[in-house]
Amino acid sequence: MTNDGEKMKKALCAVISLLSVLTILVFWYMISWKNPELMPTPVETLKQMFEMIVNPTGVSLFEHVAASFTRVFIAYFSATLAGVLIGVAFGWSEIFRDFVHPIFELLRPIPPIAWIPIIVIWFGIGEVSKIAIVFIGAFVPIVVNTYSGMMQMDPIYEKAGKVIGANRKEMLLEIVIPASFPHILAGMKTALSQSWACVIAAEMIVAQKGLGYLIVRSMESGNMGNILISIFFISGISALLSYLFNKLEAIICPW
Amino acid sequence: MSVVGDICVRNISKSFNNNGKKIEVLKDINFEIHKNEFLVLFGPGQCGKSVLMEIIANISEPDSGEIMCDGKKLREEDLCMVFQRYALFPWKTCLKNVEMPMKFKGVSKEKREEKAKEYLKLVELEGFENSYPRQISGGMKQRVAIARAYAKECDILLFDEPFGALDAQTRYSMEKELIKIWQSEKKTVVFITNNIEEAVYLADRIIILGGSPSSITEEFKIEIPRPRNRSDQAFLAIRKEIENRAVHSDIVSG
Amino acid sequence: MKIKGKKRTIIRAVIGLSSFFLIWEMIVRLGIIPRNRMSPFTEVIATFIRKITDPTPDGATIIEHFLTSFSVAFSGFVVAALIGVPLGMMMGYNRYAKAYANTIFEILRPIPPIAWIPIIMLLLGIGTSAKIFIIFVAAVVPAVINSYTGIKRVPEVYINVGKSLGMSHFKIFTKICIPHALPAVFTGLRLSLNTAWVALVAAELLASTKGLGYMIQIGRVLAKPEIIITGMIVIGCSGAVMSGLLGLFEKRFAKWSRK
Repeated sequence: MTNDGEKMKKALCAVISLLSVLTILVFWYMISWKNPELMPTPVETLKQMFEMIVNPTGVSLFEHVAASFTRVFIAYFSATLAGVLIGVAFGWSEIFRDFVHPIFELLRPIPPIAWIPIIVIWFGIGEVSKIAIVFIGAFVPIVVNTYSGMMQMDPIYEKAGKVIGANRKEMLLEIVIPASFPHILAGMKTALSQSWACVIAAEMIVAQKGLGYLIVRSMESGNMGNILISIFFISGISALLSYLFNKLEAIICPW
Repeated sequence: MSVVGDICVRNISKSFNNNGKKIEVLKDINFEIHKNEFLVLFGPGQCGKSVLMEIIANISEPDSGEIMCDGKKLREEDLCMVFQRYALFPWKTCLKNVEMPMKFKGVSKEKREEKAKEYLKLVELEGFENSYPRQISGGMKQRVAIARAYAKECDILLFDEPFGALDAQTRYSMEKELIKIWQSEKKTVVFITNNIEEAVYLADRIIILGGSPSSITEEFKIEIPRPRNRSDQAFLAIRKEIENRAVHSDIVSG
Repeated sequence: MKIKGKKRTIIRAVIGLSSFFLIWEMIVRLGIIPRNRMSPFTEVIATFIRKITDPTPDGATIIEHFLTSFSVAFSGFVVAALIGVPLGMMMGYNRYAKAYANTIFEILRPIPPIAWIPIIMLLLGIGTSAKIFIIFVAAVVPAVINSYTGIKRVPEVYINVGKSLGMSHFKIFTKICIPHALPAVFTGLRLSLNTAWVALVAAELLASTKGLGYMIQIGRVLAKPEIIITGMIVIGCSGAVMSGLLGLFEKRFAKWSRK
């Protein structure tokens, strides 16, 4: 009730948060003690990571990160471009929507991962197939969000555009697209985390490089430490990407 | 710039489809809008005034009837509309919002910036050129919207309950402001409201819509000189008369 | 007018879809894409029909594959829902529960579900229980997050109404917060089911001897595109049907949230 009471509660919450981190560590230690040869302790894992960074053997950790990153980068940007274009076409052209949207809806429920085998048959196991898989993963949410953003636009913007004299092209470029921009950005955000998840999946199934490959190879050799290090990097990069995206969103979408 | 004369609203009817049930909203509406007059359309909520205005603005199609001007169909470029919900584009600054109609007309960048500044000055919003709509109050937003409508430099302005969402204080000052602007640069104005006081304060002429489906029930000429005083005897008398004739008859008949 | 527009849309959709299938058929039949990389549409249909009863060449009929996948995905999903929804609601209602669980969650959330597979497989092997656990880990995240936001978004006013009517904390939680959060909970469950299905396919691609993911993987190894595409279609359709069924369920239990 009093201010002091509120402060106490806040402090208690902070302590509890710390406790929860402790729980994870205790849990981790327990697994390590039970299976010492399988699961390294947190401290051992940190040491191993340090070792990997300082004295890399074979393909270094950063080469794996760079490989995954490049694939995401290429696929994500081409998917954004194509996805926004198709999404806008769905929202703007009734004819295009009527003819093509059913095909999109037909293919949409197939998860990007399920495309992996056929894509490998089509494009082999090189870079193209990984980029294609990430592309599918990023393309779908961007199209869906762009399209629904245009459909959900407040009709008052269209009316206002009409009375102040916008022609059809101006209406699209100056009014409808900017009005759906927040939705497009939301789609791009989903697509970014999807891309990252897809690249890991694709690399786990077919690759010679990349964080996903590192995980699978470590699984085959039973090296849990390496798996944990890769996961640490995967989630760290994922969190970093969404943090950067939020910053960027605040800059380019200030309204 | 073409100068348009009187406008004829002829035999306008409109109905909507609600789950297969046809609902008539407007039935056989006929009236004239004189050049440079301040015409107020008054009616209760949901009576179809906004639908009628959207038909005049060519945003909606009527089922039958037409809007004529000097013997031809009224053209979109001769009119502009101000909405109750402001309808400013949130992704553009106030200045850019006001520039939009001129941009669509193909006015050069420097020219339209200069003009837009003038219009913002007209609505007393100097210094807010680079603010975004979310940063300013409701009354200020509506001023920007009015400046934007003026920036289209057309002869007819339509107002769809523009001050309906504002508090009473702001509303009074906006009404005063609007009359001042209108007197400094005369245009044909059609203004929708459901507030009798506002109607009497602003109008040269009031047309009252009522019934279901709506049709024109009464018409009043207001000849009180401007600036008007809301507590003036003449003002109150007219207000009372409208209240008795329009509102009460509507309640009795409805 | 409106009905006419609807009819036109349907006709166009039919034309669009049939030209899609026709082009697909022609591209393969005319040899633009060779047979060992792609199968014509009609052959995929034939394969699907044949696979209903025929276990060759991948060792099981399509029904067996489906049932294997479905039972694992569904069990994982159910466990995730039973644990995730109450957990998320607790986090939304009680700040201490939130302080405890949220930190763990924020640490684990950015990890893509697929990345869990190796850890779990090393710890628990590649049996059914390991797979169910993988699905659980993947599916629990959206269930928790959406249940949490559902409870968090209950307007203060409703809770105050409850208090002024003299309702107990427990009653406010069960009679006001839970019903209000239901639509969000269902959104979470739908996402959860979706994630479960995707994670399962991933797990089966990596390590399994049966299931739809295994079927498309073996199709690749045997270079039989018709097997892969049949599998993809079944995976896509079952995903769509499942979330459709959950949508129906939602309509029954949270009627007020939809028009």
